[in-house]
Amino acid sequence: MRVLIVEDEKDMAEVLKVGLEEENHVVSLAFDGISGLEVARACDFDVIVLDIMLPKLDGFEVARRLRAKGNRTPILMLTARDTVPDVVKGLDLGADDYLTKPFSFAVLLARLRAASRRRDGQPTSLLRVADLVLNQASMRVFRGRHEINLTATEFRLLEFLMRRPGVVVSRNAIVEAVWGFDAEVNDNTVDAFIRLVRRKVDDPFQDKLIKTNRGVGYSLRAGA
Amino acid sequence: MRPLPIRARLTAWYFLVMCLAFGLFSFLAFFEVRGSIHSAVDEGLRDRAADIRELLERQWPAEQVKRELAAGSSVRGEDDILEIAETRGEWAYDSVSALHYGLHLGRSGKPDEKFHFSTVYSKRMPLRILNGELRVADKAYDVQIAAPMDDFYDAVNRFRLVLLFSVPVLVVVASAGGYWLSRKAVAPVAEIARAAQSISEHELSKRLPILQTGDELQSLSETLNEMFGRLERAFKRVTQFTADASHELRTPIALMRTRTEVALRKQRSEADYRETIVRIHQELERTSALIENLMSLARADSDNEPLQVAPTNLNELFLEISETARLLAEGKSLRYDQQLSETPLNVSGNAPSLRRLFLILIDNALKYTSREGRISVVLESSDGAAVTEIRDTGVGISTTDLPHIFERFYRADESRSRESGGTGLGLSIAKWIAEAHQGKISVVSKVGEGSVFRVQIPLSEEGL
Repeated sequence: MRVLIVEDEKDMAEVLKVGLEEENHVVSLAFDGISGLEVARACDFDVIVLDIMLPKLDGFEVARRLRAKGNRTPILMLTARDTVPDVVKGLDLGADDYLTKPFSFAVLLARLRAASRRRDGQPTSLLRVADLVLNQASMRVFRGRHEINLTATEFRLLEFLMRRPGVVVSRNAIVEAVWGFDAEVNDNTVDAFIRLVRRKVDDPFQDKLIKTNRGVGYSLRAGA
Repeated sequence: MRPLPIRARLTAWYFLVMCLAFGLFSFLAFFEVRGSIHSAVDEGLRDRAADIRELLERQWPAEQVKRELAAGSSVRGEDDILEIAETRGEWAYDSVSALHYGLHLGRSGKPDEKFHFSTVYSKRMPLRILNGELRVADKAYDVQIAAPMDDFYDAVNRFRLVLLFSVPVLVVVASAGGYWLSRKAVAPVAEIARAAQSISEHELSKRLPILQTGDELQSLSETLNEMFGRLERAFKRVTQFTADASHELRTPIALMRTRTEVALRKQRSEADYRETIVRIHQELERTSALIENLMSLARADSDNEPLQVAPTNLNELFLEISETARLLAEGKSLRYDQQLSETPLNVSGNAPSLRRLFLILIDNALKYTSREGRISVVLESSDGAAVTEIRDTGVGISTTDLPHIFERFYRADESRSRESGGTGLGLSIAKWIAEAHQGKISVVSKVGEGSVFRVQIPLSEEGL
């Protein structure tokens, strides 16, 4: 998932970035409200993690402005203040969830998955297309009864496609989602990774799920 | 025993005072009326005595005098109650009425022509009697003249009856009025009490209704409202401090927790673990300092332990501080110099607290001054106070921040000061220490040029 963390406490932001990246998320950082708002508007994230006490523009205001412009990216508020009015205000301004500092990292991961799932209208953290099943929580992939071992990048690529079954995604969108917004990755690399994933997911099986749409990109769906 | 409500007590007092006042009034009125009736009647009797003296002075024979007296009585249409007797027994006269009432003339035995008045009852008739001796030429006469008092006494008795019946009624009515008045007077108090009851610690912003009566009750409710205002402000300060403190404590703990949990999610190299532990250790040290500062302020707030003061030589204190300060400054490639007053400056103070105060200010100066900058400390005496100035050539403080820098947890720039290890409490503690020494702390600053913190502490007596 592509996650934006807006947190002025640099140490905290860095630790979260490392932790989330190790869990196969693509993380961008912003250290104040204004730049957080700019990054959130410029790029399409799956979840925004927003601290409330931010320099320049507080988290409430960032959330309000994003929602005012019709941005529907799920927002998870992180706050060291857990007074009822703060929580209520955050949720009313358009945040989807909140976590009080100090929080459990495992709970943060689960809430991030839940937030993005809710946006996609997906009931659990299991993604399923035909007999291909991807578990976002345990990061394991099965095709029927066979477990498929993927590298971190391959996993992100497959997850990205499975979250949009039947939708044709461009190579550029794949780069942003899998390698990050500022990654220097060319289309050949994308094609190479698609081949790697196909070799593991499609080649041993009858039904080929990953489709190539010439000149546009790739999609994942059951059937022809 | 539960004391009676004010209303009842006021009414009881009112009743008592009314009883006394009306009782006294009735008593005086009754005796005054009776007294004035007596004096009017007595005056009439004196006039009559004067008439008789005039008659006797004519030196008529006794029979003629008697006739004249009897006639005089009949002319007036009512009978005199009159007795006259010549003291040597030459003759005596008793009017018919005098005989009827059975008056007996006694010798007055008082040769001074003074009249004596008395009241007697005869045949159920109250009589006012004048007794006296009249001297005409060489003769003396005992005279007794009486006036019937029944009509007057009837009037007096009626008056007394009126008083006896009306006074209790008046007292009761007046007391009821007093009760009503006191209730009216006390009613706003009850309202104030009701309103005050509804003000709890959650609704300290509520106020009592101000009665625009311009009286004591208005000033009472205004005074109470001012008190509520002070309480509210104090309560808000405490709540704010608690909220800030919990925020400040949560931030490093959240960081340590997340760092630990991320580190533990998978197997890592020894170098990675080492790095994690070093970072957590730094965070722990910062948190310990924060807790230390919070404790200082909490102690300052509770005021339970006044500072132990002793004569302290500030020059010596600064010689001690300068070692630490130089070390700190060298670590940041900054110059540190101090210029101490030549005469020793003694204050009555707590040396560890004063050292802390100056180190906070020096540390603060170091924090906000970039490389190649300079920190200088000047200690001198002025107006009976030891004045310490800590100057830096740092970034300075903007005018928007300047009024707030001594507030707890106030940070001019949130992210930067945490990175430099600040807790946001140092200057509050410095201010508290200065004030605990009856001193003052102030700051002058210009953005881009630097800041001057000035601490004034009164010199002790022997230092003056």
